[in-house]
Amino acid sequence: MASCKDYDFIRIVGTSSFSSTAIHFTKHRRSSVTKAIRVSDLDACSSECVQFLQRELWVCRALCHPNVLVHDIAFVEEEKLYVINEFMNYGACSDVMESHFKFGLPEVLIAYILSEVIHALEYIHKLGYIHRGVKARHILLSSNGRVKLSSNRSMISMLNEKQRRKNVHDFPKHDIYLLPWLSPEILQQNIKGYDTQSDIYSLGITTCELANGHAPFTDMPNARMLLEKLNGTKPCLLDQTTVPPEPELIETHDGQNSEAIQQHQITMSRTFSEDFHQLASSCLNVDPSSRPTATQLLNHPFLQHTASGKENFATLLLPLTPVLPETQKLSSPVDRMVAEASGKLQSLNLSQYHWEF
Amino acid sequence: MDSKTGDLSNNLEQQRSRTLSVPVRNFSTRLLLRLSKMSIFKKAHKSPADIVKSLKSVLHVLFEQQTSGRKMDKAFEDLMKNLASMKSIMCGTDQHEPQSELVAQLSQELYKSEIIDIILKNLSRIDFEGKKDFTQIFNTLARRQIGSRQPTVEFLCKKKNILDILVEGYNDPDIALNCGIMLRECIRYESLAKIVFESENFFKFFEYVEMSTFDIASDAFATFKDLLTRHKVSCSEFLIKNYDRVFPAYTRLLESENYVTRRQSLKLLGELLLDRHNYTIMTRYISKPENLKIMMNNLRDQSRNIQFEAFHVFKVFVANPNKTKPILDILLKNQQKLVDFLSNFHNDRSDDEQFNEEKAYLIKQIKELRG
Repeated sequence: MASCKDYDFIRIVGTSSFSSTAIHFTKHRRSSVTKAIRVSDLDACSSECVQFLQRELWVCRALCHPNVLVHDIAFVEEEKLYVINEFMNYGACSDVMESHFKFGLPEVLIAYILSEVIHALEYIHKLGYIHRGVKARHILLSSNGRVKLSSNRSMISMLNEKQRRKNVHDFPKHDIYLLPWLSPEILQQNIKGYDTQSDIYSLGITTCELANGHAPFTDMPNARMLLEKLNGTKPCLLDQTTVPPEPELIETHDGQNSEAIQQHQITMSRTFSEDFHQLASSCLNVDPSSRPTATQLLNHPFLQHTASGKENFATLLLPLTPVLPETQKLSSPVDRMVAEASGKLQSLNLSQYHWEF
Repeated sequence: MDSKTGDLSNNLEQQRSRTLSVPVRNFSTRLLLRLSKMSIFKKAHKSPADIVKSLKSVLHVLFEQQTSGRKMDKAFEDLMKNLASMKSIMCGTDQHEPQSELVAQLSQELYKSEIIDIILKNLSRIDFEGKKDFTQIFNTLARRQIGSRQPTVEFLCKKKNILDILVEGYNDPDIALNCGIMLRECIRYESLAKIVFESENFFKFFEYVEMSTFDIASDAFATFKDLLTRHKVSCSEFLIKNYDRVFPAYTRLLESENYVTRRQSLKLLGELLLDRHNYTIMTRYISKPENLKIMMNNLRDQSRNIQFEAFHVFKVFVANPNKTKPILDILLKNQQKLVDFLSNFHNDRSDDEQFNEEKAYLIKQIKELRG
C-alpha cells in the first residue's frame, strides 16, 4: 500500500490556489525514483472541489497515451490527497521560458513539442473529449525529449447519455487563468456551443506563447480580451516580418524599458518560417470549422521535420539542464518550521470542549 | 450498404474478367482479390450475426482453450476488431449515426448468446482500449428502449450473475472503474438496483469505499450513493428491512480512518435522514444515544468540513420534538457547553443564511430544554 512516508519531499515545484494544491518534487526512498507528488489539502476544499478532483482522476483513468500525463496512483492520508505522477525533469514549457527563454523557444524545438502535443490532442479528441486546458504551463518536458500534456482537470466529454454530441455548452469555471487561451466560441457561451476544434484555437495561442515568450491577450483586462477575440483579432508570431521597426524605442533608452527593448531587438533579429506562421494563423481562425483538425495538423509541412528537435532536445534547451535529485537539498529548516507550526495550530482547534455522556 | 458490397465485388469481377486476358497483371489482381476478403474491405459491412458468430469462436479460442503464442495474438487481434465493429454499430461513428435496424439485430444476437458473460468474466485480460470499447457497448445496450419496454433491463433481470460480476469487479484494479461505469448504468433502473439490494452485493460496498486506491474508492462511493439515493421507495424499504445490518456498517464508515470516507459518508447520512421517504429510518436513527455521541464528537473534529457535515446531522437530533429520554439526558448534561460551543461555531460562514438561521434555532432549542 502506498504511503507518503515512502517518499522524501525535496521541494515544492508548483502550487495552485484552487484546491489548495502544491506539487512536490520527491524521491521514492527505496527505489530512488523521482516522482512529482501533487498534494491537495482536502479540508480546505469545498465538496464541489473534492468532486472536481475525483472527476479528474477518473478522466485520467480512461486515458493511455505516451503524450498524456496520467497519475500512477492516488491515495488519501489524513486530510490530504496525494497524487503520484511521473516527474518531468525540465518542468513545464512555461518554467523553461521563465528561467531562460524569456522571448521564446527555438523554432525547431517548438515544431517538435507541438507535434507531440498534437498527437496527444488527436488521441483525446478521438475519444470524444475536449481538453480545454492547452497552454505552455500544461506542456511538460523531460529528458530524452519526452513531452506530455498535463492538467486533464478541465476536460469534458462529448459523449452524453446516448451518443456523440455535436457540441457542448459547459463553461470551464474553475480556472480563470485559462481565459486568454480559450477559444472565442467557448467564451461567447452561445447556443451553438463548441467542440474539439476549440482546443485547436488554444493550441494556436500556445504556439504564439512558445514562440514569443508570452501568451497573447495576457496583458489586457478580460473584457477587452473577449472583445478582441470576438472581433476576430488574430495574434501572430512576433518576428521582423510581423512587427514594424520602432526606432523611438531604441532612442529613449532608460533602465525601465530595457526588457521591452531587448524583446524588440530579438524580435527584429529573427524570422520564423512561412510554414510556422501559417500553422499558427490557421489554428487561430475565428470560425472553428476553418481550423485544421488535430489529424490534419499532423500532416502540416511545419511538423514534417521534427527529428532535429527531438535529437537535439537537450542541446536546444541549454543552458538549462534537467533537475536531478542529487543536486537538490532537502527542504530548508524554515519550511520545516512552518509545516510544524501549522500542524500545531490545527490541533489547537476547539480542544477546550469535552462532552459528557 | 449491401449494394455497396455488391458494387465492389462486381467491380472486382469485371476487373478479373478483363485481366484474365492480360496475364501479366494477374498477380496484382489476385492480391486485390485476397485483400477484398480481408477485413479492410469487409469490416464495415459485416452483419451483426456474423460479428457475434465470429466473436463466439474467438472467445472460445481465447478463454476456453489452452492456446498460446501466435494463435493467441491473432485471436486477441480478432477480438479487438469485433469489439470495434460492435461499437460502431451500437454507438455510431463520427460520420454515421447508429442504424436502429442493425442495433436491434446485434442486441438480439447478444441476448441470445453468452458473450456478455464471457467477456465480463475475462475483462481484465482484454487490453486498455478494448475494455473501454466494451464498456461503451454495454452501456449503450443497457439504455435500449422500445416504446415502454427496456429489453436489456429485462435481459439483465434474468441473468443476475452479470450484476454479480460487475460488483465483484471492484476487487480488480485493472477493471474496477470500467465495472463501476457499467454498474452505475444498470442501477439507474429500479429493477436492477433492487437485485443489488436483495443480494449480498450491497454490503460489499462498505469495504469497497474504504479501498486504499483513491480513484477506485471514490468510484465505489459514487455507486454506493447512487444506490442509496436514486430510487427512494425501494431504497427506504431496503433500509427499513435491513436497518440492524446497514447502520452498524454505516457507523464504521463514520468512524473510518480515511478522511474522505468519513466526510462523504457524513454528508450522505445527512441527506438520507432529511429525505422524507426515509422518515421511519430517521426517527429510528435519532432515538439512539450512540448516534448522537458520534455526531457530537464529530462536531469538534479537527477538520472543519467534518464539523460542518456533522452539524447537519446533529441538528436533526435537536430539532426532533419527541426526543427519547437518553437523547434528552445527553443534551441536558451538555446544555450550557453546547450553547457556548454553537455560539462560536463557524461564525465566519456569515454569507450562508440558512446555516445561520439553523444554528440560531438550535441554540434557542437547547437553551429551552428542560428535564
